[in-house]
Amino acid sequence: MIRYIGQRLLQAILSLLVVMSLVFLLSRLSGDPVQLLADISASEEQMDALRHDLGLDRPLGLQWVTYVKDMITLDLGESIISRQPVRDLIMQRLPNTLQLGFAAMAISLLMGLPIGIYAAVNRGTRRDKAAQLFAVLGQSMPSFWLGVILILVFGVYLQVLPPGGKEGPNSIILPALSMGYITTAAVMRLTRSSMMDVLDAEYIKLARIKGLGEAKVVWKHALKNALIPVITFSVVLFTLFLGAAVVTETVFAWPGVGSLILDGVRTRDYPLIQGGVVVFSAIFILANLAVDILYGYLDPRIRLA
Amino acid sequence: MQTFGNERWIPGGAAGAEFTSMHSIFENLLTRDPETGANVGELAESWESLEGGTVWKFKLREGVQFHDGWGEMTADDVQFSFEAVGAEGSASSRNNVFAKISGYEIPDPYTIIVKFSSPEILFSGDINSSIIGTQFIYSKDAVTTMGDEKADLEPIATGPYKLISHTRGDRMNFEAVEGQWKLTPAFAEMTFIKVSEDSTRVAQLRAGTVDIIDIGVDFAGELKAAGVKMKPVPGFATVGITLGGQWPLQATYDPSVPWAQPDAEKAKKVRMAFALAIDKETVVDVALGGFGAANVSLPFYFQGEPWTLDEFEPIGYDPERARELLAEAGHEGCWEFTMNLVPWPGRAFLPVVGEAVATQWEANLGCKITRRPLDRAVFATDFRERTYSGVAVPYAMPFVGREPWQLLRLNSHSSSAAMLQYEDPVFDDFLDTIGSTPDFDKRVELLQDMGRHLYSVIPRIEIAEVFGIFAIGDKIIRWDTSPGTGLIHNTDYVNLVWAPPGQRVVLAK
Repeated sequence: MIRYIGQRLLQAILSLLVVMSLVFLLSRLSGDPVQLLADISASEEQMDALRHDLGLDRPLGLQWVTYVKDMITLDLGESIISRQPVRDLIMQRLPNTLQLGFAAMAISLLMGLPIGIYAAVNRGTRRDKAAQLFAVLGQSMPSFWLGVILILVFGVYLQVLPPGGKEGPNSIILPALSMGYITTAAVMRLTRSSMMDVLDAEYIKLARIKGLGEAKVVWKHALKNALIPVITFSVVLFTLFLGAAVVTETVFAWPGVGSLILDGVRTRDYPLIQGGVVVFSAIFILANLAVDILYGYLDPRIRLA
Repeated sequence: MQTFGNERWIPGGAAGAEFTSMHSIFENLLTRDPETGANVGELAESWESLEGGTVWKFKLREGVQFHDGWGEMTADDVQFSFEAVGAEGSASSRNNVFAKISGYEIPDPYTIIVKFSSPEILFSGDINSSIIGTQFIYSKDAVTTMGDEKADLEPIATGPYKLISHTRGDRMNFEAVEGQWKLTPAFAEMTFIKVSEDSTRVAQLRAGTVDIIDIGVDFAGELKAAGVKMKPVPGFATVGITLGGQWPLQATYDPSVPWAQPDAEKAKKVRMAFALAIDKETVVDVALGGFGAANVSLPFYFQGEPWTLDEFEPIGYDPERARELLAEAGHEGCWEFTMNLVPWPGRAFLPVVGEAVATQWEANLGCKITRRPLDRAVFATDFRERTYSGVAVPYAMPFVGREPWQLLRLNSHSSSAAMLQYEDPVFDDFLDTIGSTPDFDKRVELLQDMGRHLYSVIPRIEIAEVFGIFAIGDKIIRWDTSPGTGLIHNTDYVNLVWAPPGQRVVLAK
């Protein structure tokens, strides 16, 4: 088991290193931030001075080495635009992103699980098809479009929920719904197929032969086993929400890391882009590492393979 | 607000883009009258320019207090603030002006004399709190006692609001300063929230969760249709089409570009043809949502200004004459070229203007125009390197000061980094001469002459005056803004009737 954990840990570190290098290179492909920072009337000398001040005149390799060294010591650098430590900027907003991620995950599970169970129990019927349609609609909609529609209906026309910003506890409902509904289809489908597998299992048939009521068979005996892959998937789901946060936070003016990264992209704030993406990647990789280790613990065949 | 997040609240730390966040907290020696746009005293009671603009004397207002008990504002604070802006390493875009200050004299705590190494005839524009990018007055005691790090988080100034809390890139909370020397704002608390998405800001205003939003002209039609109150700010910019390549002495000059060919007369006919082939009223309606006026022929030569002569009438719409002029210039028809579509910050309407103009040129002259959407930073390089010969560029020149030369010297002088008109020694001479003429009447005469010269050449096709636009909620009864200032400002006058200093008329809370 220790060897298995060690291998997975090494893979995680390598993945993070690759991500860090890719982010470093890709953010520099977006152009020269000095062109954005400098006034249109700035002279070439003023721009060179700014470039030097920001350390952007050094060779790329040297910039990369410094960057990796800093990252290892958790020094994410200083924002080019605000001149504040990137770590502080991210830590100030990370709780908001996590809050939104958990809320979206809760909505996704609260909607996807019952619909999936309902569809599995009523498989092949019109009710099954209607449930699937509801979920698939969510998967087909772009989240930014859904976000705008939610804002229009609940924020502007009905005026029952704030259309944007983090203005109180109910501000989270619309952005969480916008993100959560998109993944409801995946949760619903997984629940449905997993539930159908379990409902076909011999021990369920035995329970029914023994005369147990359908409700008891479904909720007590089938659901427990059917939930295992869904719970595992919910970890992946959470990491998916981190990616989706960039769009949702921007549409809803939710002050999280996603909108911070987008600000960084708009202003070519390399340290901010790098720091934000690396933090998101680290969370993603760590979450997957945890799932891998959990699988290895639960199923010895995986770690032996 | 669409954007903020790079606030720096130490003297010399602000680059200029922080204007909106600073304007509520800080004040400067001068400001502009919201009605007329003329300079009026703010922290200075009176001022005068002496010795051809090399000496400026200010009489300060007595009894103005800094926030949180940091004492009275005096000439020492002014000197401290000016020195920081002019110091090496200052982030201010006005650093070059303040660096020319050669000395100060402080005969008494309420008088300061500023001396320059060369004439600065419009220094009043660099110390004016309603001109974007100018600098403000800090408390010397507060900054030196707290140190830069703390002062950068807790700005101490004299303005109508003080900063209570700040989440960078998200929100700023302000509290009205009771008994501020000018007035106590009507709203006891004020919050700035950053909302990048235009549609979300519009929704927030319509839902009543915010009271003022800044908005681009592209949303103006929707807002008007929804019955939202709009607050246009005239004189924010003049939009036009720059015809690239008019730099005959540069290595990148291409003599085959028809509007920049060596035959000046033919080149002018081509430019005139392109000007006549634009229905400017339609461009204002389509691309500016009606928030503009097709009444300019030269940048910042607005109607009613003393330098705007009747003879500078806007070039009309005459496609037939346009085709004749092209033929007279030796062109059977139009040709194929590129129109760059660059959304400049605060001027997201530019690609739509470009599209509208390109469509009209295609219809009226038969041109084949490739639309090239482009990042602003990429195009900034083209500007500087003069590498857009033969390319048409919609660009809106923003307000930097009342007199047109103040802007043109930055973006149209041969020695400027950017080039938005044409390189011409006569034009350069005008800009240099006007910039060193302290007498206003004489400057007006020179500006009229420069206007005549530009009008005879038409290096750039001016289309319209553009208004800055804010949308406001029902709570706001009146808000006095300054002409040309396109970012949110004068927050102390939200909901108030303009009143002289010391008086206050609250219409509603």
